[in-house]
Amino acid sequence: MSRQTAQAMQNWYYGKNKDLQMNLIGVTHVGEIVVIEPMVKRLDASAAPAFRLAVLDLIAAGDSRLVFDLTGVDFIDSSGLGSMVSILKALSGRGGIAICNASAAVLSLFRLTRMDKVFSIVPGRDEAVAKVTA
Amino acid sequence: MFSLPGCKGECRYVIPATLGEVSRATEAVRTVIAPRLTPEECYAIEIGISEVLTNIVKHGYSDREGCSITMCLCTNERELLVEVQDTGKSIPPAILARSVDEVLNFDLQNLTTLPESGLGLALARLAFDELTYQSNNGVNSLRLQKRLRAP
Repeated sequence: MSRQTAQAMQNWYYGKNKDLQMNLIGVTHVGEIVVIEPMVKRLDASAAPAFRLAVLDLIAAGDSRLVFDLTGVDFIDSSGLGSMVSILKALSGRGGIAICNASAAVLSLFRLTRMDKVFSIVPGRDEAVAKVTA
Repeated sequence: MFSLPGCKGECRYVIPATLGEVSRATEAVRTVIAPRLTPEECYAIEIGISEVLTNIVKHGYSDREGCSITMCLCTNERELLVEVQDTGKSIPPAILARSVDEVLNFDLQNLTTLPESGLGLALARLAFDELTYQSNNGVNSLRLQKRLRAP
């Protein structure tokens, strides 16, 4: 698939789902850090692709130090986790990601898959912001 | 579908094979399974069911419209049984044969090879004690069994 075709497909997907994406994440900038709150309770296969695209848009706009505040998320499956891995890869070593306010249930998936060794996971937002600032 | 001896409660769902309906159905399962499981077990099973149903939508039916999945949950004193049936493409034997260790034993230090997908069946195996799969005459049946502690 050519890059133009891939971009056209992404634009179509973004346009089709723009309302969903705009409502999907809350975005707060703290200096150079962007705190992203999924506005869905379930980060599963129905929400993960749009979440991924919404965050990739932020990265394309220049953000690279990201905090995922999972306060409102009570369920994540491998699709949600995969979207975070994809986002991490998209950073290509720039900036970083810290995750905060993950419930015990959400944390269990990270531990089960050993992704708690890949992502920085801290209790609260302040710690997460400090983590990606460092 | 299966018949579980001494079944105390059965829930049968016919789920339109869309990711949105899978999300809703999986969330509904939580209230059915919660009374007999710890919160950790409950969450693991919810993930396992989500993974199985999502795989059917995305891979079994390749996101085709108009398809459905039948799921039956049944509990007795000793076990929880979940059976999921679909008429889509069956799980390839090579995928079915992969062990949990094979799937989850990826290199944590290598960003490029970190998996973005493909963990679903392994997570289902971790949540349940037994997983059996059959595909006959175009009908695929996945049976998941979880032993329960005495009430």
